[in-house]
Amino acid sequence: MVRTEHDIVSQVRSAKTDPEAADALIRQYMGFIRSETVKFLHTAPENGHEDELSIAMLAFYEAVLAYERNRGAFLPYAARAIKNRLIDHYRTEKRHGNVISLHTPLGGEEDGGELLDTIPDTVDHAEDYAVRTASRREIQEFSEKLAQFGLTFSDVADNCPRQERTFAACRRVLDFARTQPALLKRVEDTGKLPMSELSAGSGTDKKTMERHRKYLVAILLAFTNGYEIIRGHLCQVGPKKGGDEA
Amino acid sequence: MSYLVMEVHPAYAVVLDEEGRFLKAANLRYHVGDTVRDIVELRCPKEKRPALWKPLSGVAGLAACLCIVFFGYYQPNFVPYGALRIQINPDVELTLSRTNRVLELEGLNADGRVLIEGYDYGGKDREDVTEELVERAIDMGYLSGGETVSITVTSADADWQAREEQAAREDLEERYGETIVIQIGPTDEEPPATEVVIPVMPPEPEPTPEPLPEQTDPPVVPYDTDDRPGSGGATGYQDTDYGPDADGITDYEDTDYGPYSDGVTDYESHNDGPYVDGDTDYEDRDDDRDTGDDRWEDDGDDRWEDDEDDWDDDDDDGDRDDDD
Repeated sequence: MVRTEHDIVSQVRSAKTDPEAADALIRQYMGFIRSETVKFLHTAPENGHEDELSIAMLAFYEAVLAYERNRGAFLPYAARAIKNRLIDHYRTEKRHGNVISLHTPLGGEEDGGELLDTIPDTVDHAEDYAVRTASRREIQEFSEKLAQFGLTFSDVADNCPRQERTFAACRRVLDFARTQPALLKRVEDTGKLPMSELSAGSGTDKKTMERHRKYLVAILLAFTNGYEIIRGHLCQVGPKKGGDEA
Repeated sequence: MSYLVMEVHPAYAVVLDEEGRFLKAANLRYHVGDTVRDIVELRCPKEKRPALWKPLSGVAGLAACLCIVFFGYYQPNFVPYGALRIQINPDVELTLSRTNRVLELEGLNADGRVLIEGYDYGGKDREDVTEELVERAIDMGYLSGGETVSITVTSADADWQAREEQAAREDLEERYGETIVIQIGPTDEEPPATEVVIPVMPPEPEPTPEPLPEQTDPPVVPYDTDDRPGSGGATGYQDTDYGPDADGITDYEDTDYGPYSDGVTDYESHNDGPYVDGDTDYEDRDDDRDTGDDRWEDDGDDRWEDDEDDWDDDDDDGDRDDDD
């Protein structure tokens, strides 16, 4: 028993930094997460409550990240985190409470159709599938390119600036780099940031750039050739953001 | 805001928002390449906060503890707040804390130093020390029945001072009230007080000698009064004697006995009376005594007529006419 406790604490500690260990830990404790969700829902998650199960899993991951040894045993801590997160989720969902689910059964019959079935399906599924496949392939390429420089999307997400001011500073770096294709090429080739040029050109502090190096590499790579879909996704707001910056 | 799903994990997905942020969000059955709208974002734990205030909190807690110890325990118990002076013949002063702890004991004169010699006041409060010192004074023969113990409390806090004086007196009276007299305020303070005053204000000494002659005069003045009635003051003295013969004996006794003790003023008034105000006095007596008017007329008129003919006649006649 003591050994199990020790195991889970060390597992949690390694999962904090290693996304794969986190995935493994979550798979291992899937039963626990599910049982906590059922305790909250009083029904099986499969009965239209898949979102809650996903949020419970996210809450478990948050608990892994936030856990400290002085906060007590991990599992009770995680259970509390899951419960709180689900309560929060219900409160935010309550704001749009007068929304009917598309899966609401029509009429009273058991095997009647759902509300969803009555809505005309205007989406071109073939086109949609093609776009999704293309973007998946592109993201796969992007991921491989990042992996060459030892980066994963998880690392990049962890390294993403959270403060608005820092984010704006990184944005200035990107805007400057886009005007200098040579610099972008160098980033693509070496995976290293030409710090002094970028700093001099964008006016962003070198220390800030160093702190968000992984994120900057990823976002600059996204603006090199070959990632049209990702760039297209970003450019929906890009010009407007650029206008804000100027 | 739409998000492009970049990577999926069992518990979360990495999504790219339109502004270029990579975010972790709940994986609501997402697939890589999906474009999604509403995400449940991961909440990042804040780790740096505790590190900043933890050492400070220790310091702050320590400072708070020290404050509590200082203001709650040390200051009321160990900081001098007032002084209580006991004067029997030995003169001792106790330095008191706010909670009546005796902090220091000092003999202000030789007897006081003898009285407190070898006396341990450590940890005792005002009540114990005053009682034990009075007890000691009785044992050592400084204090016997009927003598006075005076207590003086001085402090910057007037309320505390009054309270302490009251409490100290009550304590001592309760214990020794039958044998000794407890007095608030200094007994023999006045000589030292005048001694203190003289150097401070040079003009003062001149007024102080003046009262002293006045106090020494009264013994002399009575003799003068005796002399005066005998020799030259016969008029005044006899007048008063004659007056009281009817019912003025009390007046005479008062006036005579008065001057012996403190009747200088009385005597002076009598002296002034015959010479200046005596007329009005006689008028009053005349007015009062209707029956004695005749006798007074006979005796007094002649003499008074000799002194002041017109005035007396007019007054007597007018008064009688009015009265009648």
